[in-house]
Amino acid sequence: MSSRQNLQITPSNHTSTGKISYRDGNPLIQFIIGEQDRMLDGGSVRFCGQFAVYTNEAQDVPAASSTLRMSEQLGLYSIIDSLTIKSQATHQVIEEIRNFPRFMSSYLPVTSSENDQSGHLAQQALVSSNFANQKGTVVANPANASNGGTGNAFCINLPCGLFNGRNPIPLMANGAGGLGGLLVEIQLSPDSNVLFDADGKSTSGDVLDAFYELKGVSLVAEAMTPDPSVSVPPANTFEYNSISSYFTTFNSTNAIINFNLGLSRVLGVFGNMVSASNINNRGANGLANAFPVNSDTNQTPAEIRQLFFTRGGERFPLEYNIDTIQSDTTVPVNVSNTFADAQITQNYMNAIQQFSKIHRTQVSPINTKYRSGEAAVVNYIPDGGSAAGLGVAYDVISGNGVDFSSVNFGINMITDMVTDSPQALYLFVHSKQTIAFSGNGISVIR
Amino acid sequence: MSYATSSDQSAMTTQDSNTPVSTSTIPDLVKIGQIPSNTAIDIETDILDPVVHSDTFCRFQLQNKGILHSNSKIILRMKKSSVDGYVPLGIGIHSLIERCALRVGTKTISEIDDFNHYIGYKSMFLSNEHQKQREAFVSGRRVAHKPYLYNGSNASYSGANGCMTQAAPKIGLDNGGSLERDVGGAGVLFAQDYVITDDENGVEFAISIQDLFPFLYTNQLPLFMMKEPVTIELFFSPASGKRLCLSGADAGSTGHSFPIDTTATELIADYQYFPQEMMEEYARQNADMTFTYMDYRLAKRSIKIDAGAGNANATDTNTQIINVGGAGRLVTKVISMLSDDTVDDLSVLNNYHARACIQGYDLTPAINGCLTSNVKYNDHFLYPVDVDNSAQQFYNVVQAEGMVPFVTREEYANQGTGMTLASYEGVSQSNDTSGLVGKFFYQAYKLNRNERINQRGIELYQRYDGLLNLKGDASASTCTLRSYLELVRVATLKDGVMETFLA
Repeated sequence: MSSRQNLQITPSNHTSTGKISYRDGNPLIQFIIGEQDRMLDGGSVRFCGQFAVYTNEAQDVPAASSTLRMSEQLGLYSIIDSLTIKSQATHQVIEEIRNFPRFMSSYLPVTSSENDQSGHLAQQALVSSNFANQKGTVVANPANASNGGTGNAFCINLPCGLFNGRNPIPLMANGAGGLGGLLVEIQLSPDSNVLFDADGKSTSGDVLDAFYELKGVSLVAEAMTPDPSVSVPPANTFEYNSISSYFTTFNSTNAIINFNLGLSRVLGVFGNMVSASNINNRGANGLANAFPVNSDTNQTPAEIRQLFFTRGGERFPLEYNIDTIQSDTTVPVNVSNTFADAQITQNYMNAIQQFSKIHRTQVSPINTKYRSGEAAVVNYIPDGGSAAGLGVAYDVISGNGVDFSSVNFGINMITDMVTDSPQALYLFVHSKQTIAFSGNGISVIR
Repeated sequence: MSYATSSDQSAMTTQDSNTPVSTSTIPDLVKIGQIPSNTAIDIETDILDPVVHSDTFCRFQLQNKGILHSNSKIILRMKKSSVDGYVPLGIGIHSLIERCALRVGTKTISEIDDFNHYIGYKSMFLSNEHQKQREAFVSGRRVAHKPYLYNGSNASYSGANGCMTQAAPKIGLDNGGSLERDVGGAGVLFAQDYVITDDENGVEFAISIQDLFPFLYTNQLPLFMMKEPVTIELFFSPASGKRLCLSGADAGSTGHSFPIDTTATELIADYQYFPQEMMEEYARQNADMTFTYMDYRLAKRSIKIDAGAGNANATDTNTQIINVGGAGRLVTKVISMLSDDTVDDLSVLNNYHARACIQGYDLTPAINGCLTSNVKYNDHFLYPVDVDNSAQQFYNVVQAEGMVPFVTREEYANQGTGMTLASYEGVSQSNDTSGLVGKFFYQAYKLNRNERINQRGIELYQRYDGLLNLKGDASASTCTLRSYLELVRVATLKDGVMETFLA
């Protein structure tokens, strides 16, 4: 009979104090799930520990009145800059998600509701449905106290294609039909991209020297020992869904984005945006996913007037332009409409999860609205913060995806961008991939 | 003639019940799930009165016909009362059921002791939306939340100009009612009338029999194949202090007795009938039927709480090694909860809660109390390292149930001051004793090694470091640690006689 065992793995690059922070020069946390005759239940992998925020080197805890904040939408997910999973035996990269918080800032609001954010996501990932609640219960939690305080307990999953897949992950040696163990690497985000001042003051107050710290971290998971009486021939391939990330900027009325994805089975593409000047800026939330804004005094929104996606230069899969409500110049009230066009939002959500299967979501007209980029506006959005984005699904029926291995992917967008205001676009591609293994190692077929 | 819908429910068809049925097409009628055929089903509903009923006990006897629908309901009503009382937030009308048993002849098929505590755990997995929109009307369970938006310059729910703003530092209950503001103080939320027993009405709600006997979620009882009488027995909780909750204004009436209106108790039993040939053929093919199911066995232990008020005097229970039984059995799960014996009708949850450790933010250094837990069976611990991270304990509950609890962080682990100061029926939602904070700290352990428990049984290792004394005068008191084992049982139905034994 097969059985399961609980694993608890401490970082292989453990510090002597057990405390880990970007500020103190420990930006990498590495876990080794060794080669063994077991299968890993990817869905059971959790990153656990205690999280604390301090305002300065003396490790003072932010006061309740402090304007120091972190993303309420992401909570603990905001500290993971990139997630890399390698084969322990060969150190070949199986999956790497760069800009992990940006991916999560699309994934979480679309697939979880306000009650999820107040409930289990708050308990496990320190997320909240409201910015003020997150600040009070996490950032300014008195238990952050450095000299014996217990901090904020967290235990988060690591959403990625490999771990989200339904198939157990073989940890056996390459020659025995396995990956040869796993190496899970978490690259921490800089403090300047996690913590920010809600009022936009980057050089004063609590935010200036603020940093976060982790302690007692570990990776917990369940492993399965196959039934020894059942002889299963070693597999030589393993199929999983993967997330690939791309980054670019645009700064014009007619934004044209083009990527050679190099992926053969693309299921969907989605992305989110933020003013490039907000990234790694303690005066702004670099992890907000807002629509483009101008750089004028009021940082007025640059509404999207037209949008279409291309494959090899042809419109695909939508064979038409999405002409948004703001492009309707015949009706003045439409031109000045501040709500994102429903087609943009629907396609974006559909690219992350099949629209008809989204049963719980945070996305609403309130948090997909065009807003000014001013700190007093963007940092005070209810309903879990901004949930804006772009995207399109390629295959929600067969699950086999569309071939982009030899043709380019493109986005054409006409916006109201009339000032010099570079906008960062983080693009994520959801695709099917296959690992082939043999005694000589593994190869990833993208 | 009977009516049926197609599998996608897009078309309704009629079918003559005399149509011959091929034996090869007969589906498993008692297994809950989709039946992949256009099968005509007749539903007959009986309203059954109890054969025995007092304020402490009642018994229903089912008729041996058809297949009992698992979502059949038992209706319970309270008598009118001079003192107002409302059903507990977390479990609703289930607070009345202290023990329930399903018997076939003289054999007990399923029985749960302290059912009202057990259902407190299970109710946590109903989503907030479901509780607010459905359960509030059916069973009276209504733990749902929303961010309480308010203007930070004014500690109330509305700003100086009466407008709500975007900031919501606190989260609180959402029962669909509007928040009323106490002048100069915290907000006030009132229970809806239909959950209150008063001098004009007694609350009336329904309990699904599949909640009482969880194996009915996956199986239905083929009563037409059973020769012995099938009875449902309910043992009611004490009328004083354990059934309903009192509002803050009625705190002086604590211990008030709320009797059951025995004239209103009834079982609404839905019997399903398939075409006669199909049922006869099914009975013939399954003359010797066996199925496995889960049953729950309770182990209780008292835990002493030291005298002394405040976080500084919180109790450290030290490591308690508790043998919860299970020797020689197949046990798939252990559920544990610690209820404070001094907390009853003055709390919005009554006694049906699971305590967390302190929120010691007034201490130096500020800390959260800590539960350290593990389970040992067959000479091995379940977790390689004792678990002392409350988020990981929450995750262990998720793993055990395959579902997330829908409670807030402060309600579960008592971490972060995120619960509103507003009251519910005059009782502060953030109060340690009578409110919601730290009252859903249920633990669950999935025994995942697929092993039969050896003769030593299962040992629960738990250390609660930081239990606040909740007794009014802060004298020494007790908590009760309840542990439910989920055991695998086997039932056989042979020639109309049912037998059951532990696997």
